[in-house]
Amino acid sequence: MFSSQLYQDEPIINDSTTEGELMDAAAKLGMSTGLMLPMNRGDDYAYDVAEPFPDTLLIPESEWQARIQEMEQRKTRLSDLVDQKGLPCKDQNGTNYCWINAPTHCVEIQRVVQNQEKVILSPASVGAPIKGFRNNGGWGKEGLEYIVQHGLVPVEKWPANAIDRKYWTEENKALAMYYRVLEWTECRPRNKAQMASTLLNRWPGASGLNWWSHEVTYYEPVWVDGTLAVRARNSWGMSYGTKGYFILQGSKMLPDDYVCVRSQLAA
Amino acid sequence: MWEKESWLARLWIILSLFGLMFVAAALACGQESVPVEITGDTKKVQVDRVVVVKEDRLVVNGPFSLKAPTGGILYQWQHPAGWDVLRKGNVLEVKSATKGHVTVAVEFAVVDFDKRLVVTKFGSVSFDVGEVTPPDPPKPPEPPVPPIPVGALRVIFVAESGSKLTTEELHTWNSTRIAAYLDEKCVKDGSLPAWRKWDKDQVPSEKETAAMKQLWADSKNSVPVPGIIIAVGQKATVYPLPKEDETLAVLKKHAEGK
Repeated sequence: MFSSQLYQDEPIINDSTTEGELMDAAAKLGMSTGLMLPMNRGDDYAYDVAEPFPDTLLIPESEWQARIQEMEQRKTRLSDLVDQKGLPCKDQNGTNYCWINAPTHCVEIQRVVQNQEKVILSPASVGAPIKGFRNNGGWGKEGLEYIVQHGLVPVEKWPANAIDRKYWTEENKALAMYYRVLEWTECRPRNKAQMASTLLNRWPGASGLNWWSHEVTYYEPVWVDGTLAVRARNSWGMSYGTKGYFILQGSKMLPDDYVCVRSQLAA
Repeated sequence: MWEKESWLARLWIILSLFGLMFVAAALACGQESVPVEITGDTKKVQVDRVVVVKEDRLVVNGPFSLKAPTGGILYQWQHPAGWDVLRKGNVLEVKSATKGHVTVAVEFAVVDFDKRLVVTKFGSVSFDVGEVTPPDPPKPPEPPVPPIPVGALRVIFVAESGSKLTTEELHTWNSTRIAAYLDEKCVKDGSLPAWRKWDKDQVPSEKETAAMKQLWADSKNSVPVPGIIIAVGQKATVYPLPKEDETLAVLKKHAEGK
C-alpha cells in the first residue's frame, strides 16, 4: 500500500495531538499564533464567499491517492519547486500575524511557480495597515483581499515584522502594486473535497485553523495511514519541523478559512 | 551730262574703295581657340582645358550648361540634333540631351576697338552624356539591431489558472525537470532565466523584462490554452501544452536542434 515519503523528523499533527504539545512547540521557538476569525453564533466561520467554488474543479476522491503518488514520484509538487529555488518559510517572530504570513507566503510560492524573481515579501506591510498598526489577529481572506487590491512590499523596504507606520510611505505603497495577486479562490470552510482539489491543482493555500487559532500555508496533499493528509508550512522560522514543513492529519487539517492563490502579477 | 555723271560715278567708286580699304584696315580679322566650360552634374576630375573629366572621359548627367568665355558677340553654338537648349549668349543651357559621346562647338567674335580688330574665337568640348559607368549602388540601410540576440531561448507557459488541468498538464506545469532545464538553457534577462508560467489574462507590469513582454504581446493571441510559447531569437512557435517528456523534447529541439 502506498504511503507518502515524509521528510526526516517531519512533525505530524493529528487528532491525538494535544494543545499542550503545540503550545510547548510555540513557546520553545518564541512563537505565537494569531488567527481571529469572524464567527457566527454557531461557532462557524462567517463564510461569505462571493464566487462559489466551481464543481468543475473538483477532483474525485477515487483519484486522490494515485495522483498524490504520481506527483511525488515525478517531483511535481509545490515543495519540489520551492525547495529547488531555495525559498525559505516565513518567520512571524512572536507577532500575532500568522494570518497574514500564510497568504504572503502563498504569493512567494506562486512567484516561484511563475519563475518571477525570488522576492521575500513583508507580511507586516499588509497586516499593519489592516490592523491600524497594532499587533492584532486576523484571518487569511482578510489579508488576501488586501493583497489583491494593494499588494505587498519586499522586506528590503519594509522589514517582515515591522508593525511601524514609518514604512507606510507613498514610495512603498507604489512599490507594493507590483506584488499583487491576480487570481484566487476561496473554499468552503472544512470542505475536504474542495481543499484537496485545489492542492492537487498545486494552488498554495492560506489555511486558518480555528482549533489552533493559527494560520499556516498548505502546500500539497500527502497520503498517510491510508488516507489524505496535508503537507503544510509554518511561519515559525526554518527551525520548526523540517525547514518549516509539517503534516496535518484528520479533522485538524480541515481549514475554517481557506484561500488559495492561483496567479499573481508578472513583475 | 554724261561726262558730269561719269565723273560723279567715278568719284563714288573711288570713295567706296577708300572706305573698304579703311574698314579692311581698321577691322583686321584673326582666329583663336578658347576653352568651353561645362557646369552641371558632372563627375569631377579636372584635366585639360575642359573643366571636368572622369578618368579620360567627361560624363554629364541631367541638365547642364556650357559656357564660353565672356566678352564676345554673335555666339554660335553647334550641338547634336534633338537637344532642348536655351541660348543665352556665351551660355548654352541644355535641358535635355541625347545620350552618347557628343561634341559641342561654339564660335563667336570679339571686337578689339583699340586695335580695330575683329577676332573670331571658337572652342569645342567632347564628352559623354548619360551614365557611361553605372553609379555606385546606394548603401543598403543598416539592419536594425535585433532586440533579442539570435538563438536566445525564451519560454512562456500559458494556462487558465481557474480551470482544471489534466494530470499530465499539471505535471508539465509543475515539473522540476523542466524548470531545471529552462534555468540552464534560457537566456538570462538580468539574473533571471527567461521563462515564465502565466495565466492567460496576465498583464505584465513594467517590472517584467521588455523581451518577455514583447514575446507575450506577440504570441498571447495565437497560443493555445493551455499551451507553450517557445522563442529562439526572434522566432516564436506555439504548441498546445505537451506532456512533461514531450515538452522537454520540444524544448531541446528548439534550444539545441536535437
